[in-house]
Amino acid sequence: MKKNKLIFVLLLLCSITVVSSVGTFFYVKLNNNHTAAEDDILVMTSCNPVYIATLNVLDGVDGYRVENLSQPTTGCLHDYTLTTEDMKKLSKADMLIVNGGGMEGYLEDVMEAYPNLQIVDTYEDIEHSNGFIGMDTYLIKEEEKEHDHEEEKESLPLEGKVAAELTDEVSNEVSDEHEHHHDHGANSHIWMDDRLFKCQVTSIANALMEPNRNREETPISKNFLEYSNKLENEIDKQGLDKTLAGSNVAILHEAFAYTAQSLGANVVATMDLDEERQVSAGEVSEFLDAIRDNNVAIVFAEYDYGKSMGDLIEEQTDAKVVYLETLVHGSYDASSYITVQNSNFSKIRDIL
Amino acid sequence: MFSEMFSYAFMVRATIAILLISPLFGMVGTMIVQKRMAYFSDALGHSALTGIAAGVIMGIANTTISMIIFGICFALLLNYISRKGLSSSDTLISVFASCATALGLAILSRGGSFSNYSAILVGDILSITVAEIVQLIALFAVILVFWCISINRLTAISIHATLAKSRSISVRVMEDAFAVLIALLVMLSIKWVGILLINALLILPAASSRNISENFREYTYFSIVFSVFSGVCGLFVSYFTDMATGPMIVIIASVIYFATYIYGKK
Repeated sequence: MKKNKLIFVLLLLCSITVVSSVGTFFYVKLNNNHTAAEDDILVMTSCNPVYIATLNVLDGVDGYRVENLSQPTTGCLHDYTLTTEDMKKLSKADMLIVNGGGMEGYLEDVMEAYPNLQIVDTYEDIEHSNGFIGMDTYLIKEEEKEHDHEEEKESLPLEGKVAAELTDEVSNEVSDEHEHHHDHGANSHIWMDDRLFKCQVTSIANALMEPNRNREETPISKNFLEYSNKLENEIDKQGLDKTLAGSNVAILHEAFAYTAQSLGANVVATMDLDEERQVSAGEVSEFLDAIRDNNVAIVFAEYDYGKSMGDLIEEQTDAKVVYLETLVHGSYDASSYITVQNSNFSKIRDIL
Repeated sequence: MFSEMFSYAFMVRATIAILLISPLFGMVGTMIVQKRMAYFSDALGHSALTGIAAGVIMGIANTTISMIIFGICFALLLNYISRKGLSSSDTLISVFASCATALGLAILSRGGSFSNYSAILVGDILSITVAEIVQLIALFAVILVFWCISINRLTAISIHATLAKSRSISVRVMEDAFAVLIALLVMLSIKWVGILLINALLILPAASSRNISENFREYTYFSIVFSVFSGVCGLFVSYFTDMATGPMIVIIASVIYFATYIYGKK
């Protein structure tokens, strides 16, 4: 082996080490903005809607720090993988609040890596009717679209049933049925229905108030009540729940099934588009036929992935396409849930 | 800085995994480059999708098993048809790779569910578990034993297959065994490295080493050094800059390749 070749290799590897170390040092210097106290309770959230809910519940409460995992800039959360920064934060976190329902594909890995981390699954809380009796009927299961599960539906609790009326036997039966569904893809974009979002806020507040067994008034319970009232009073559906009640709509993103549900509309055709979705010609023609056959007047879509299909729909049918936000991307502040939902309803109102 | 990094269990596991996988890539990569099998290993990587799809169809809970079985069958079938000499091997590999990828995509994207499997495209070394590290240790041992036993015969075949045959080396058996070994390495590490990057990690260190080596010993040593260095350096940089680990490793391996290319041209 020639000596100068060995020197070259050593110099090369040293140069790369020096350049990458210096680059990394300055990168860390520029991006290091952690100022919160280390002894605060660190509450991590998995996605923007859950983050917004938690921010509101813990607004101004001392001793807590809320941080969201890094969010993908495009696409949905299902296929998101954790970054090193996320893993670092999780290792220090006291609680991880997730949307659940299969939204966080990495959850099993997290549970395996951090067995002591308390995980609050808001979807599971609603699904198992933990304080939200009747709301589990609002969860949309994919199987129900494919198979006729009328018999199963009959065994589900009705909306408005109070906890006292539900015997333990029925409760267990419902949980078992739902576990079956949960294993097979559920539509987990539950925050898009404001009623379910309120349940998510309740689930988060319950988990954070857990040590307070006597349910005395605390800053957290005060925030929870305030935010619940805000959601109740400030979300303005602009009469759409009356205008669209019982009418047929089509959707180009499964999140909007919950938007339709919150307005009382029936989803008669779904084509879930994202950055990896490749649609077949047969699927498109079936979708267009469903729009025509069911006299669909309005289609809910996400602009990034639904625009070209939206243009095709408007060209081929009489339906109008409205582009809505799913609240997954972007930087959101504490008031953004209400703002974005109201903006979505305004867009629908404008197109009608 | 480094003590903080290793206070995280996931970083310790990822570092161990890198220290196990990267020397294997460096070692096996030399023979892949030598035997001009870069396209073959790339095709194998892409066939992982079909392996997962086959597992999904057959209801196998652990798709790694279906990936390994499919990968081995795919590699042996490719070798078998290549030997028939009906078509040039690059055309044949291209046909097989395209077909396997399309089949995998078609099955996995049925009903719009491809997003459930898309994580395998880029891989995720940070989520490796202890059980999976044990798997990698077993793989490391298997490849090391095979390498020690077969390196001379493989080198002879890569230089001149007919000459190797005349020296009583079973070319067919060795080629098949090496193909199975690549399939095992690719399928067992693809979950951590990703389909899009695995071939880069197999080829770049060996290709860099080839640029400056004058004999097979140098070729192997440099390849292993470049591979381990890229892996460890890429992991550390990705830790501090919060960038994906796999691409960062490939970027460093690419820098080494270009530097050795310029040096080798002198």
